[in-house]
Amino acid sequence: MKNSLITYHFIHSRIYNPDKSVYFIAVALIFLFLFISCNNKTTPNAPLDCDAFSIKDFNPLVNWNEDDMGKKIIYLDYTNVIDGFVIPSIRQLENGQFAFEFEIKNNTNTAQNFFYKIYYQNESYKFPETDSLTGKKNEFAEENFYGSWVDSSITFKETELIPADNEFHKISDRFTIDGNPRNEKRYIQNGVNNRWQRNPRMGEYSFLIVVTSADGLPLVPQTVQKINQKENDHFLNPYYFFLYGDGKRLKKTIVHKSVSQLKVIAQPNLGGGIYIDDTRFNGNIDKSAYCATCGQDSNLYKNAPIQQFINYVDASTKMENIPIVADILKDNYSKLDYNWNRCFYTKDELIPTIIQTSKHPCQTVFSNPDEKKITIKNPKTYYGEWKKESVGIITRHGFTYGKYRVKAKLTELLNKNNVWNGLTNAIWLITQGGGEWNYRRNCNKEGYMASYWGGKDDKRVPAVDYSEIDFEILKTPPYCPDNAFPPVFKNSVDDKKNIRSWNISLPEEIINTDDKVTVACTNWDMACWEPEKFGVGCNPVTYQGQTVYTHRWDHWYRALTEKKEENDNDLFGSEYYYFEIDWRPTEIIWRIGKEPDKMRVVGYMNDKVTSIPNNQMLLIITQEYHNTKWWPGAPYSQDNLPFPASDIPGEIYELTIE
Amino acid sequence: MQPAKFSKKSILFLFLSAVCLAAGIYIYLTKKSVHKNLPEITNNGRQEAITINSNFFFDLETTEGLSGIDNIKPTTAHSGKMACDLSGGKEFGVSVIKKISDAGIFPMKRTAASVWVYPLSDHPDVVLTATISNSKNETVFWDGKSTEKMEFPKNKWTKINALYNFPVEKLSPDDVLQINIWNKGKTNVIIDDLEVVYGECNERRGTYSNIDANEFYEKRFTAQRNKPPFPIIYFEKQEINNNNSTLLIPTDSLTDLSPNDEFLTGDFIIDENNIDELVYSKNGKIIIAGYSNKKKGFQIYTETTETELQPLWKKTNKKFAGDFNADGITDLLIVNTENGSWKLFNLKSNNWNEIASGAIGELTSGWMNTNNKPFVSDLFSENKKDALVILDNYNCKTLQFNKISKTFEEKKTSLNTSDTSLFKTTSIIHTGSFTGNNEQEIVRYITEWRFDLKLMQLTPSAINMLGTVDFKGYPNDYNPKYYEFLKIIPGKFINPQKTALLVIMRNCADTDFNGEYCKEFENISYLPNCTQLYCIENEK
Repeated sequence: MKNSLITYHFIHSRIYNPDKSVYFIAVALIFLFLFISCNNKTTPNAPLDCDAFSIKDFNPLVNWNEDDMGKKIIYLDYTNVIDGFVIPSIRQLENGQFAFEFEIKNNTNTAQNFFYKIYYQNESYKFPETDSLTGKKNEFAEENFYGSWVDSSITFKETELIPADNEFHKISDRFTIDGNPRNEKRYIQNGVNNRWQRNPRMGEYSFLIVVTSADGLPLVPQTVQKINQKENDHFLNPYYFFLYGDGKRLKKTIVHKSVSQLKVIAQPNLGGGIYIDDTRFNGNIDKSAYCATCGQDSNLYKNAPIQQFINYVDASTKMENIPIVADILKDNYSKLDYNWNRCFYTKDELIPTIIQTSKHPCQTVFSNPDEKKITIKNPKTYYGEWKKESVGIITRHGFTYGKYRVKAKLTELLNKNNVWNGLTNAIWLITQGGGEWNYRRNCNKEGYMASYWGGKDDKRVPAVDYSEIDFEILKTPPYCPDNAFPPVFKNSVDDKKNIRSWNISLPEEIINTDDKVTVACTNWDMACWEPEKFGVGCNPVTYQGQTVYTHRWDHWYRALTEKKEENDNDLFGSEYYYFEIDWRPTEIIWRIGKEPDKMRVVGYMNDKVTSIPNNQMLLIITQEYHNTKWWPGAPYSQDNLPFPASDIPGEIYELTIE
Repeated sequence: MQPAKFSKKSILFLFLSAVCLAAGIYIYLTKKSVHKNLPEITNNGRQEAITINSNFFFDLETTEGLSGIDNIKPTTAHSGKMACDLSGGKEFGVSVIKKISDAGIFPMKRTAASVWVYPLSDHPDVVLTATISNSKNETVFWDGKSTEKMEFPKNKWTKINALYNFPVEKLSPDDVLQINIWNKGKTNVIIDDLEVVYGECNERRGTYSNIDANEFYEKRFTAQRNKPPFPIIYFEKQEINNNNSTLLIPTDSLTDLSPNDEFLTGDFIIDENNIDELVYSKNGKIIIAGYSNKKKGFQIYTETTETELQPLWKKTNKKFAGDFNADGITDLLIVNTENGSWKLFNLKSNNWNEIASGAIGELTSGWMNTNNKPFVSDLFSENKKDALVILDNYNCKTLQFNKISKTFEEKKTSLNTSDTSLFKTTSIIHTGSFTGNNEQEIVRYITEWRFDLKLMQLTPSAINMLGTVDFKGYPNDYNPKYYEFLKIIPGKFINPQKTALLVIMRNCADTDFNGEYCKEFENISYLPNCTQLYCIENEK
């Protein structure tokens, strides 16, 4: 500010000498630039000063190099991480720790000890530290993933005695990024700190160094020195405190946020095997299909990133299915076939069926270590068995937030006659469960519906652990715009003497999108009424100039869905396709595309219309059979589609969470 | 005072009154609200066809079935030339009014409707309504779907769909359901193409089985004899080079076979092929056609006009082919069902020769009435010669030809009479060796409300259901079972060991088509009429 005033007067006094004034203006601008730069804590090389000391050259990641693009990226090490991820692992760096350093100069007259602490925070999936409207502390900033040394009893560390020699002295130390970095009691059960219950978030991390003097240290609140402590039952985010709050004005304390950031990416090796969890299979497990890459041995237990997923099957999937076994995708199965089979079987000829899940682990899921991919398949069946069996995989390690991108070739859903094969391709996140430790943020307006399956009269509770974010892709019409919903389907009559009575045509709005499948994007918000635009029916939401329509059946319906129709051939007829759930603290974006840099938005929701989950979730990929009663308006009914005569494979090539 | 004494007359009257009263109470309590068109639900579930039309589409080109037609006129239309113009403040458009019992199955749980709307001004408020009134003209139900908060751009046709769910407990069959177009906002708007679908899709016929689904998953399912679900047995299309046309031989109109006609197959012509020929009457001729391996197609062997057989080839006479006299040549038996007389023919030197005959009454006593299901089989007779096997309710007997006396003699069979219940009065029975394993098999064809063709194994003591017949290898969607009028003619046309099915596939334009005779055939573009040949292919 002082330099700016000098500049002003200087220019003014030279107003009648333009040639020289230009020169002076330029110099003034340079001074101004330097002035701003001095207070810019992100300039690495310029020292930061206070009366007692100066610091410079803070490097939070001395022993981690940049990649070719000049970025510091680390991929999670999935080796033996049942108890939670540590960044870095001992396989990635010696001692399994990042080294950081900074230089300090003693500005006083006597040798002194100084005190320092490093903090890190996940920047990609944080709430801003301040409220954008009030400028005050954001009440959700304490949810951010931040930490310091894993032992939260360590407050600030003391340097060795720094001489008053007007020289900078290097201080070196180490740290890791761990799960449950605040050592919260919530994640400690039976004396065990279950760090895996709050795994590090993916994305960019920033680093904050705070240095203070002996008489400056007492001015730092205990809840900032020891991040595991709360005040009035709330954590105090040190980033807020030091960058925006009272800590910004502390004398004899320097706070510096490093320019250098670290990007953390999870990319589990899909060739690393599939673990079988006993608890998902009832009764004695048939181990006949176990092999080196699928089973329960200790190597798989420790290291496999994926396990076989078994859908929950409820009684509503019970149906009386036509007794046909056919390969819809290959056998030229037509609408005429569908219409005939729908009309002309008597009740006693139907097969009582309930959607099945695998009773024989590893028989329908395969991990290929050479190609680093996973294959799943819905198994074929035959007369006398008549089975429609869902198949899927689930990750074993949960995260909160993240951009989950799957590269897969899942089964085509429509054959060349555009008849649906009855499957739903689903890529979805589900709560890691667990009860209290994994509760979502409280719903403050009446609460959440207590259970997933309860009806309208279910009680409401402040918190639940249930959360789910879905991609479900199947043959069903969109709910919105609701002028055209539900489609008007003609009734058929079982009279072979009149083909037009049973071979009825589909409604025009269905035929117009005959080659399309619907990408349904759903957030299960458990009907929390708190969002300011909680709505029922079709309501528009705009994102980047694109309007999508959310749909909710009624005030007690636990999910909000958006649907977009896409070409089945594009999504599942090509070599692979990408599906991405970008789960952020205040919004969820669903994208699909041929390549990661060619993704398009197919769904968008924010915290104005729905409660965004903030608990820990796992990723599931399935090819599953649904009861079409769950999808009103579907042109093909599950019980009128044949059992599969051939295996129906799907392949997953890559999973990236960043 | 002494108790009254009743005369015999008065006691009789009292008794009769009590009987009448009891009968009246019984009828009242057991009365079902069954509309004359509604099927009776028995213990075996719905058996009869539900023929009420529940799908209605009104393009407004005609006003039939509509009320409130005043505003229908030539104007901007979604289809055709006519539409309902509600411009100038008009509030009510067309209506469809029906008694619920006329509209569909009672109880009617719901109705769907749609209409196209063309707003001439912004923010139209058109409501597609459903109203139900009872016999006292009281409204018992009302619901409507409005365009008000929806996107209905000006000068563009946009559809509105509605689904109305009814409170069935409040309705009765005589209630009146009205679908209306209500221009609530009185803005300028045109409507067209109203569709109404009453009720839901009909339930399937029959009752559910009591199979335990767990039997499948635990791999312990065992099919019960002669009870569904049956395996599917596929007959595959064989190439006969007729261009998938209705002609057996592309260039010969005499081979334009019709399902109205009758056909017999057998090895009538003695040659080295030992395959069957087809015999039928057309244009006053008796024609014999057969498959030629050389030509890879059918050919006509003979067509004769001067024959004693021709005048007998009429629908009232039953016709059978079989080697009844065990001379190695297939004979032709014609039975006059009116007077019971019969004649037996064989083919020699291209002429049909009568080799035996029977006088009036010889094959009567109920053998040849319309309820019997006779078919030809050698299973029950000595020396494996063909006999007429007749199923009559729970009886099974054979008529075997005695070469010496030249008469048919009745013989009993050891067939399990309960198996005869597999055949209904409408069953058509053909025998042959369809799987090609030299066993005697039956295809039972029932054509009441659906295509139902079953393959059965015939043994001296039992009939066992092998499976449901379906077809494959046909081009496009031309599955024989989809056709409205299908004639199946079994014969060893291409392989002397295996019986194939020649299928004549037609659709019928008659509005009153009864399934047995069609006056005018119709060619539907996605299911053109044709004649094809199918047989079971052995697994490779």
